[in-house]
Amino acid sequence: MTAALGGAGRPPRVVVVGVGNEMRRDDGAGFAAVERAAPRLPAEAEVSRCAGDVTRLLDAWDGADLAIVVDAARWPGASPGEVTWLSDLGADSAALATWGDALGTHGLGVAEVVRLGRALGRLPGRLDLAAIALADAAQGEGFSDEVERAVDRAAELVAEGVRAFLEAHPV
Amino acid sequence: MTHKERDLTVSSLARVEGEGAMHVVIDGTTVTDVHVQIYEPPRFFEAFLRGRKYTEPPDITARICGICPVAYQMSACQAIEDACGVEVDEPIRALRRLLYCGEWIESHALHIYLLHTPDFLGVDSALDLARDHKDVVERALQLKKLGNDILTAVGGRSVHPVNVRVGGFYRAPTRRELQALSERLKWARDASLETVRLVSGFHFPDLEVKHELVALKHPRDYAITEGRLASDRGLDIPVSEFRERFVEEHVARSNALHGQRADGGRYLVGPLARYTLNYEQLPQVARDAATEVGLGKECRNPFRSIVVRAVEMLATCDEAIRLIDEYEEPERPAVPVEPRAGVGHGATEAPRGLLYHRYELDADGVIQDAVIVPPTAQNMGAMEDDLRRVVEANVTLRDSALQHLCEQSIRNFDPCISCATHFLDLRVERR
Repeated sequence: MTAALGGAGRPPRVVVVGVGNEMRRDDGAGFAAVERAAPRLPAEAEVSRCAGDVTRLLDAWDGADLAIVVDAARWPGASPGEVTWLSDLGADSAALATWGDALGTHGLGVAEVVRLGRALGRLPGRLDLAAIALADAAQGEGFSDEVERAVDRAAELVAEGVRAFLEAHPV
Repeated sequence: MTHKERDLTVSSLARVEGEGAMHVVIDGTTVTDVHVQIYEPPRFFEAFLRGRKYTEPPDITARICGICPVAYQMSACQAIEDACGVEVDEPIRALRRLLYCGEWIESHALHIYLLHTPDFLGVDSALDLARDHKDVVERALQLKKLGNDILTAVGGRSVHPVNVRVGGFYRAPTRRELQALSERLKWARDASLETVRLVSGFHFPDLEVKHELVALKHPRDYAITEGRLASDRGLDIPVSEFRERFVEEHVARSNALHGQRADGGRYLVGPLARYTLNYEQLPQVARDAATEVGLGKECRNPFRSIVVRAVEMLATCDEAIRLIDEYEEPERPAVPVEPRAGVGHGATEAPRGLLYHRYELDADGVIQDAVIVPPTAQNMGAMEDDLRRVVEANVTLRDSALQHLCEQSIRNFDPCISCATHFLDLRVERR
């Protein structure tokens, strides 16, 4: 099925956001994934980083037809380097029900901000989340071997997710 | 009360910045031990600043915290400039103050609404708050966004600003760029006044801080970016004497150093100290608001810190409007800073309290030694003491209510453990 978005002939607005902290080893995986995905995305796609207070995501995805967030996290049963793709979080309110806060030093985590956005009616048209299971969030730069490979996998998924969305929603 | 042993655990103490643990031991009705346990590895920023160039601390230390990077940048710049014998031009001072106002607005809006207000309204989180008080959360998010946008306009980006350098800025914003923020700041000033009115209506448990209150004090301005070190017990010294009066003690159970007075007493930095010592320097609109809600000229109840933060947010919005009104693009965005051998000190008021930096440079400007004393580390002792007194006064409460009160007591400090390391986990042990 295809459907036009954007209005007045403009292409859908696509936002890709990496979340994390590049000075906490694997917690920087979200940044790296969106940056590796960027060359494979259409020029109009907006690629950005979100560090510190993640309520900034509400502004980052404001008005977007598609937003893809990539974050490193820990969740029950995950193996380091595993990449999980959660689709259309606005439509699926149960998707993050069992998730705690993403690893972070800030007051709210990504899962909480998604719930907050839902409560406020401030989610983008479609919101996908790529979560990378981290192994090491110690101080410092560079990824663990598992997460280094996972970053490439997440970047591929982001590029594929954007491509599929744009194909389904032509101008 | 029996002597039955009870051990209560909160797996995560939410709505503080970071991770760690707090342990409370109650023997019957007697509180026998209260301590904050910081279990995250210590931060080695001071160590890896050694050997770096004198121009680098603003960018390196900004990474200590995603909530208050400007505080680190400003204290670092001030200390390096002090070491190099440089004073910046007045327009640069004003621009730094405007940048800092942006950080205060963002940080205070975050803490007041999303982290602290849920305690007072009896809800678990900002999410619950959004369901029942959507307009309140929207106001918070707009205030935060405005703070972010000030950081972007002056600092180049909202997190870890890139436009700050020793001596000033890489580029001064145009008058037009800043004026675009003025109308929103006028809205924010009104919204802050509404915030003062809202939070002053909360119920505040009785508690009075007994510690020495320490903050910067400036003869003209509500101290944010500069001043002398002052206290409610008559302290009045230059920032360069900080380490003669205040020391940091390593506590074995914690990865954060605990600050105390050199004579062994505890002290408190942050909104209560700032407000109590600088009430007269608040702009009229903020003093009027304080009077309207009965705050008085001093505030020593840590639970009322949320009202003080709201008054400070109002003051900074008003201050930012004034700074933008008076802004003229400086002739140069930065003054030249040539290195020289020496020691420099800097202190500014991070949203959570006094942040001190000291750098020792060699003749080539290479850093030989660095000392960073964040506010949360200075407040650790006071935080433990408050918790002890809160538990003692409420020892008969049910465990869940007592834990909630303990968490609230900790959030009174708006602890940024990502600065002083990290913090989560509360354990109450009853014997």
